[in-house]
Amino acid sequence: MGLGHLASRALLRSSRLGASKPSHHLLRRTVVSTPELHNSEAAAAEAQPEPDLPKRTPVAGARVHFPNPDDAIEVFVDGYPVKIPKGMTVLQACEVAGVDIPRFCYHDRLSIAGNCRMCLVEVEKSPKPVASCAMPALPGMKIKTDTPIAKKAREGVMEFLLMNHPLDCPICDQGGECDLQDQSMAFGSDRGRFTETKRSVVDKNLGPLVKTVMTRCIQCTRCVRFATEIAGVQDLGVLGRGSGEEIGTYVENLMTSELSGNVIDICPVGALTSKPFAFKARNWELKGTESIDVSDAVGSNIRIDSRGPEVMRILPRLNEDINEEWISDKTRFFYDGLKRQRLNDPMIRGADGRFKTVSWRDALAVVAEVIHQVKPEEIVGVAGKLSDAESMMALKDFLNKMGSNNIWCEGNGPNPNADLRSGYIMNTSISGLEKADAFLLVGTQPRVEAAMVNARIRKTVRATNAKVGYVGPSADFNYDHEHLGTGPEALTELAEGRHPFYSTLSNAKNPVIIIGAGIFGRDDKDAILAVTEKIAKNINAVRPDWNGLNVLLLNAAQAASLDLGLVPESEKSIESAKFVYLMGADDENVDKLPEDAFVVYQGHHGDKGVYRANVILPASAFSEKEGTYANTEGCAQTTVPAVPTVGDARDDWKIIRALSEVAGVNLPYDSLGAIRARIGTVAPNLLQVEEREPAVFSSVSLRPDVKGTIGKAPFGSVVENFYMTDAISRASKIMAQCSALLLKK
Amino acid sequence: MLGRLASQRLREIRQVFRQLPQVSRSFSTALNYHLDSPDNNPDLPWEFTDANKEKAKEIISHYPSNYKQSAVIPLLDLAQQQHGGWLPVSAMNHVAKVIEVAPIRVYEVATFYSMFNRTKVGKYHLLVCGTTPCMIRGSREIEDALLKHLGVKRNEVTKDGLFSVGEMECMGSCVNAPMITVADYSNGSEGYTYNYYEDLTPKKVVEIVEAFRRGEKPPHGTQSPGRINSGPEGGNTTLLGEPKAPPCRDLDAC
Amino acid sequence: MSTMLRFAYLVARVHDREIWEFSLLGGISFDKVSAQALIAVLLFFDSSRSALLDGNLMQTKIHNIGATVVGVDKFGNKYYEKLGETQYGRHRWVEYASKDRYNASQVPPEWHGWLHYITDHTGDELLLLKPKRYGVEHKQNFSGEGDEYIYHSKGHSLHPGQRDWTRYEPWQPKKS
Repeated sequence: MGLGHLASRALLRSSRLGASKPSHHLLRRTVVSTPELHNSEAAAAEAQPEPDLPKRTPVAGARVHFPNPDDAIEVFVDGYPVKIPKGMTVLQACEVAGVDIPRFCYHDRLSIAGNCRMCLVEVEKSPKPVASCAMPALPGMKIKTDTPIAKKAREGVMEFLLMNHPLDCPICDQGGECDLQDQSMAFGSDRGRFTETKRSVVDKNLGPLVKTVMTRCIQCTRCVRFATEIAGVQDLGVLGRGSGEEIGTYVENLMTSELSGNVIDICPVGALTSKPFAFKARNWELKGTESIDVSDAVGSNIRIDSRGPEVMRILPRLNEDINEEWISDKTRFFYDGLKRQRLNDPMIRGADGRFKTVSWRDALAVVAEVIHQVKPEEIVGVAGKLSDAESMMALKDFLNKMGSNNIWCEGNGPNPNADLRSGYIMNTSISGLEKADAFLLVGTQPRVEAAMVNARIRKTVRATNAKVGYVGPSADFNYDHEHLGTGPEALTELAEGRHPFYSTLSNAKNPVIIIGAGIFGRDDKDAILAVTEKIAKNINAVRPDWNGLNVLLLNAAQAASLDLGLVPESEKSIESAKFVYLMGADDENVDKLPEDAFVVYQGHHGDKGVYRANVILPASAFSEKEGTYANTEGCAQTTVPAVPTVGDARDDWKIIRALSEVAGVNLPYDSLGAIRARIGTVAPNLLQVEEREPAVFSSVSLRPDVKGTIGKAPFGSVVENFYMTDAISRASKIMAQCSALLLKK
Repeated sequence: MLGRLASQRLREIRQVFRQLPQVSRSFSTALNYHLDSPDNNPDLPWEFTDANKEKAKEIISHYPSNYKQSAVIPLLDLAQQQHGGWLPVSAMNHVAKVIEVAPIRVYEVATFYSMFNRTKVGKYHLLVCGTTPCMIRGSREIEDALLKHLGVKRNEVTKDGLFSVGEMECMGSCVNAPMITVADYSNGSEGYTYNYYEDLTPKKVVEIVEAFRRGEKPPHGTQSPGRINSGPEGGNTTLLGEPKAPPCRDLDAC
Repeated sequence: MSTMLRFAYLVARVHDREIWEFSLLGGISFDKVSAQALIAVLLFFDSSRSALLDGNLMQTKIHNIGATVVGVDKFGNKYYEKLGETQYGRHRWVEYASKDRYNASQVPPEWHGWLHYITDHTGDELLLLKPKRYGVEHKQNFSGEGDEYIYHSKGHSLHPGQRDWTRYEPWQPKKS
């Protein structure tokens, strides 16, 4: 028996004997010794608000938004008065007052469950501590967060939570970033009184992404609420009751949501952790780099966690305007593709058809020699879907200097319309979708094309019961929608007001039309755009205060490429090309290329594009370079290098800059700042980093009348496999596993 | 000599085990997840019978049309009665379809309530009350007698499929403890009964079981001949006359 | 007789940190046990050089006099107990099977509790509770026992797989 234990025993005994002596209370050291509780008058006297309190600032610098200034009420948190809008909960009031209330089940973006009881606070004149997350704040409420009652309540709740929680911390992946760990340090007792055996729960199989250790679960039901409310897959539930309660799917059921990875983030304990990241690294070993995702056109804000030269995981970053705090599974888990199939040395295909590793000097010399041998109009440049604005600018400038103007970005179709910025970006903005009350989706399946935009639409549909009409092939939606037709004839009907859904659209206050970038590949693209604009005009979707005509792009590079004017001079240039510069373009159809065409592939992955290449120039991936990307709503954001590049690879724009020198047509910039200054002369909006610049002119009034008729061909689905859309995700093993297991056959 | 040594060793081993804290921990509920078996898997077809479809419609009509999911408990009960006292996963799926919710919402309810059996039970499901008043009055002996008589373990079905024994918490008949409940699924949902048999002894409970086996329906309620319902043996001893008026009824006067 | 004792004392003085312990214990044992018995024990149990050169082992040997062997584990470690005149808290000890390279991690888990006064059940009894299906065999801790027992992280120059490890997989042109 330890000396301390003996001493505390002795003290206990003496305090029990002389309970009347107050001095013993101070020395007593038991689990919940709060002698002040027994003397309510003394406690009340202590809790009197001191006259001059230090000024408090809201937790994490949160701003308070008053929807209606008349509805402001005043409450007192620890004696400090705060003004909050009516309808806020006690917990939110405390946050405004700068008091962080411990919580497990409460989450800003999920419905309130109130089942963990960790957020108990004392409210004056309330007989019991109240669960602050579920209690609306009332005018004049006196909330006390640091009184003995509140502390004792937290300590008690924490002891109960830890009763059945295994002592897994040393082998738990959540260790170090665990809410339970942190809060038990801050609010828990230093000992527990539970001596019985802990319960154990069978682990559930939720698929290749989420690892479950259900014994660690504290039944906060955040994952259940996330799956039901945000992901829209009602698979998870709370099963059983009492101490047998557990989270599960009851029947064997994988979590087939494109947002399933987010349950890893919202789980406050280590019950749901990342399967690919399991036992790979401790979170304190990782270096976080705040960057941008390029797997789709949303440009989700991410944090790339790396250890040394390896990307270990990708986590979301809060950005209320774009991705809130979620990211799609592709964004989160395609990072292992960055380590596989990488191009690390310049290569030249020899006469025998084999690639041979060469030096940069030789590779660039060969390319420069060939490009001078072909006619300028036979030169073609294609930017890939992961290209940044800087490298696209350099490519365009270089090929222009060589005399060619056949440069485009893949996915933009043969004749892209880059004249009016409002014609290819999401004018409503992603966060603006929440104000909409009717949606018309034209040839787009946002769930697979831009999962975060889909989450926004689902949020809107849930919150305001907005109606969704959809034109396109039958697709998987996770909200109620009306399938209006598969082909453009449904649009014609809508434009003429014949379709039953037209009344829904025309009655809507803020209607939104979203056109998928998939129609860019169609021959009748302009006609479809024209008829959509007619619908927009008829339903009054484009007004000075509301622009509801949107295009949902597919790739990270698309918006910036159109901003920079990467438009080919002739539509059929690839059929007569003799020199093709593929800058990471893997999905461009190169079958039509003449046999004798010389193909340079510059990119970071040995994907589809390299097999036709004559010269390979290794470039760096998005996690290794600094580059500007514009997302589908036209918001420019920059990636930041998180890890060094592999092998001999270089940044895309640097390669082109070096090539231009070898080819004798020096590009006039040799730093990132200089090339950005050049971008500023072409597309100044790309320099407004992290600030969305809306399109000034609306296309409805300015676009000239188009000729051409609408075809009969139904819309196709653009993204066949959500998990494999670009070079990185196609190289990823995790994504391969996902598409094998999760895609519905 | 060797035998004595062996027995001593055995005693020592037992001693070791006895003094260690109990390792196993029992739960009141059954498994909280589904395991496919030939008679219980999602591929089996399951539907309400025509009569029960009408009943289900009637049950749903009690609730507002936008709150159909409120009917989940009565519908699950109906499905359980129809399916011989237990709910296969396909029955739960069907209920989910009827009330237009995701199946998991029905599973949540079905796993929460211990009255929903998710494994097979006998035609007569005998539920022994195990709560304190009944336990003090000998419910353990009742259960032992039942299990011994039927030759099964708890929550096991007899070979002929007639009986199964389960445990239930307090059913409110403490004054007539010990008691068992017999859920009779032998006649489907039409002839479904759920009767209490009270004031039992191990002998009487075996007699009741045998009566059921013969196809009889023994009279439910107290099995003590001297009692009427919950009244005391030999008639009432108090409250025989007209009760006296309360002493302070006239509130203004006090 | 006295020469033998003096020899033992001299040997112990070589390990000077053990001297006071040895003389203290020796002093006690001289009162209770005849010196003759001590020498007999010394010679009988282990007259090898190691016992005479290793103060710890010597002390254990002296301690063993009059103690009862409670059990022997499967590694050959002997567990002694001496009740009565021994100081409380020093009445259980182990004599390791290995006489030259011993450490506390050689005690298997079933005996650990008994040896550290956590339980009064001997290791033989607790061994019956060892799970058959997943209980692993006890292994002693080899830390500091040579390079092969030291863990070197991936990328360390002493990591055995260091040479065939790369931080990325380069694309290999197809051998066509």
